[in-house]
Amino acid sequence: MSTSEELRILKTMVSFSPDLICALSPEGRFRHVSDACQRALGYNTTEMIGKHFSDIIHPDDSTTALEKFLDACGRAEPVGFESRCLCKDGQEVHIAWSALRAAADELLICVGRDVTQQRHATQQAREQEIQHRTIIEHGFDMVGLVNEQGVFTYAGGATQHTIGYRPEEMVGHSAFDFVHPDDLAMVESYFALLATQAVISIPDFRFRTASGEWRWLETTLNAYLQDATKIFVVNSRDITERRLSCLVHTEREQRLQVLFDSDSALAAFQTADGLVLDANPALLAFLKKEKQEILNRPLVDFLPAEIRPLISQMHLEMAHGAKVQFETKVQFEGEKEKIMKATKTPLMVDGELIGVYCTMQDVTEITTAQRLIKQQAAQLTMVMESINDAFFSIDHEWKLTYLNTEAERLLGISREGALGISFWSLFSEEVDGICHQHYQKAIATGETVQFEVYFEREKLWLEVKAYPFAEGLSVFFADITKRVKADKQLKLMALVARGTDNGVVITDAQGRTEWVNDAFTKQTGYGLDEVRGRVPGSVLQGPETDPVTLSYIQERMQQHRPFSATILNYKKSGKKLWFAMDITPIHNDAGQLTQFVTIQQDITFRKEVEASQAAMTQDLYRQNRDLQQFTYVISHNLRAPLANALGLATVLTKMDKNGEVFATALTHLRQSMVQADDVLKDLNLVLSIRDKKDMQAMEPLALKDVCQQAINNLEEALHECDGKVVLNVEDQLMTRGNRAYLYSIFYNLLSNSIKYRSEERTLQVDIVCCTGAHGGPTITFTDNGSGFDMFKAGSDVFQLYKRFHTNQRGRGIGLFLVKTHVEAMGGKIEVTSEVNFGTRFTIHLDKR
Amino acid sequence: MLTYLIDDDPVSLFLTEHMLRLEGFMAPILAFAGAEEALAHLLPRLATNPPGLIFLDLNMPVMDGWGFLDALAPHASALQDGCRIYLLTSSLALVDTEKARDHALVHGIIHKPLDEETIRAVVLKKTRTQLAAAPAVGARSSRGEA
Repeated sequence: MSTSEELRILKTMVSFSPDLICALSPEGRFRHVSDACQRALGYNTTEMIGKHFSDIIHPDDSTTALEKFLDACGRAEPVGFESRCLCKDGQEVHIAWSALRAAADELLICVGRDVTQQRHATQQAREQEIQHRTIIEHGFDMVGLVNEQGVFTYAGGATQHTIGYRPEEMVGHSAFDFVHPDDLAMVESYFALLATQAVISIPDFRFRTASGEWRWLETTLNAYLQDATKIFVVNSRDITERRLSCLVHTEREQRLQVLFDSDSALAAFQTADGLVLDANPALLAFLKKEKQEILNRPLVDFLPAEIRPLISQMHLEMAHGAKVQFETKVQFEGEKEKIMKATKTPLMVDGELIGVYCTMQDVTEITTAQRLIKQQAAQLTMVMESINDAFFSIDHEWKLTYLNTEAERLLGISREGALGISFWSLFSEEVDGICHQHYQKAIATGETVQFEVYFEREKLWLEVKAYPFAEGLSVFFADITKRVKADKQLKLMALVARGTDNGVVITDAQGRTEWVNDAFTKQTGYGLDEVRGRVPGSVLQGPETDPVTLSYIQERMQQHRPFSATILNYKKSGKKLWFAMDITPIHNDAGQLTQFVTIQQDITFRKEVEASQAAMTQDLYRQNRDLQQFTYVISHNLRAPLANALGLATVLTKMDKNGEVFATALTHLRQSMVQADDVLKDLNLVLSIRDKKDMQAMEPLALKDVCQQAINNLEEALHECDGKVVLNVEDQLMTRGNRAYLYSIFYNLLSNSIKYRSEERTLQVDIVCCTGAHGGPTITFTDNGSGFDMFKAGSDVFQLYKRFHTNQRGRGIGLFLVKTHVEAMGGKIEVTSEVNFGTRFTIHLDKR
Repeated sequence: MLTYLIDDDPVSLFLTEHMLRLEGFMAPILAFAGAEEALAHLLPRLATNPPGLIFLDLNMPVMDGWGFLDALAPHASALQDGCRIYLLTSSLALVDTEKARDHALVHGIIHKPLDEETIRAVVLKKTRTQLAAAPAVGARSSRGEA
């Protein structure tokens, strides 16, 4: 072939070559370009020729490209380099250049290939790797490679992040060096399995970190063959956190189990259908069953029949996911009735009932105790309500926590409206008042306070006791308005008592003197000091105080009601003192007798007047009686002889003056006149005794002398009848009176004895004078005469002109005179007599 | 007509007896110094020989006129018609007069001394009512004479 041929062929090859073939001048300008330039860069040949090399190079690569260009110029061999070129349309294309200086000429031949696609692919691969690495390094897993000896050949992934080692710190080290000694054997045994297995997982083991602490790891090893050598990809994960939480979980589970097992309540886990999954020892013991006996059987089968419907009911209620609870009385065979509290707690997962936790507890005691507590609370309330005192309690914020009915009444508030409300907002007017101060003091000191206060709103006086306690203050109070008023009245009374002329004595309930006023002292002579603590009666009463009055007073005082009495007392001087007493018992609010108030008026003067009036009445009565007696005397004893005389006078005129009868009549006439005269004399005597009674001189008389004188004067009469008088008088026995009267008494009695002596025996008279029980002389005058009939005589014995004998000529004046004389001397006379036996007179005279 | 005089005063008995005799009273007269004696005499003779007339003194010892009447009371029926009892007393006491008026056995009360008119009224058997009035007249006239 020819050279031209060869040249044409060559030209064609250059023309069709996909590579850019360019010839550049030593200055860097394109002289020849192949057609590929237009395909790659968009410039046609004409446009390209004359351009400078740097015109098409990306500015960033132009420096490098220029260096390479210059380098190529200086060498004989080709220089390769890559640079980004800019197309006509601005796109970047990667061109790999190969530059060679042609030896002969000065031209530089550059062959470029478009490597844009390759470059993009490489770029992508690199980016992908970075991504992978990032993922691995930032993931949880640590990745490494170990050889058959367990020595690390690579370490990556999260290794550094997780355990702190840089890869170079691990590569070349045996993995076993990092394992915890306790776990080493286990890890090694697993590692040995790799001889036969392609994949193994080593469960939790501890691995030392760069900081020296132990972390729990979980590792998977995959065996690979690389270059006929077995290597293992190690994939590890730090499970310390999980492990710990797992431990916690296990512990918690254990704990729950312990709770379940040791729960004194009867507990069981059931399926949703009620089958027993587990039962705690308490339940087993209670049912007296072994666990195997009840597992997977319905729990209700082991419970008494009567509560089965209830359990079923509960089960239904619980199906909705709510916890149910109930108490019921259960009668287990051979045991006492018990109160059981059952609770069923549903175990719900995702809204579905998967099991039931069931507990039962014997709450018999608790229930009983609760009932007791309720009863006690009820009782307490009742007690609070029943106490007479009003009661309320307030807490530390002054809020009312309790209020009984009495408190409602006294405070004028209602429980509904007051409980929970501050006391001071209910009674704002009492803020900073007396109550407030006391309550604050009680709370501050913890000590009980007691006080009396006027409660303005209800116009009441209250007695208040406040007891502080842990939760606040208990306040008891009572309406003492009455008592306060009574106290005031008492004070007024005391004021009056001081001012009055009447004696006032205040005694306690036992009658002991607490106080007397000045008037009392003036009346009795006793000061308060002398009578305080003593019963007034014991000080004031004396010998003549009437026992009947005393017992009356005693009796009335027992009745605790006011009464009046009149009593004879004695002054300190011994002088008699008549009191009109008004005795008033005083009671406290509780109705208990506390005192007696006695007001005594000195009525001695009135009593004296009364006594003299009585004496006057007595005198008048006697005068009157005497007058009647006189009338009688006049009609009978004086008129009888006068009537006779009158009759005789008439008869005499009609008689023969010389006859014997005439003489008799005349004698009778004379006799009648004498008789009338005697009566007149008697009357005169009696009247004179009576009239002189108050004027006569009372002299001391020796009884013996006077009596002896009377006996002497009747000596003759006694001698005639052989009568005998035995006189027995106590030595020196004296009385006080009129000598003539005393003589008359002895004389008349003795002459009566002689006159009415018994015919059947000789007269004997015994006269005994001695000191009698009343303190004065007592004379007994006894004869053995004819006596008289006491029944017939009755009260007439001592009456004037009463006679009891028909055979003796008595006028019936002797005993009347005796009595008159005895009474004139202030004495008394009594008589006893028996017919044919004798008569005895007893005379009591005043002493001296 | 058997007549009893009962009086402890002998002067009075003497006087009464002689006055009756002087007025011509012829019937037998028995005088007793005490009521008990008279009673002892009368009771056994109540049926056989009762007195037609009794003059009875009131004021006597042991048993007085009223005592005598009380003792007679059980025998009142036996006496009723045949015997008239007059109280002959010196007493002017109103009590006695009233008591005499009310007493079933007493026909009348005569105040001493017994005078002619009264004797006539009593002896002439005047009716009881007339007799009751008569002594008052007699008493008044006696006083008038005194």
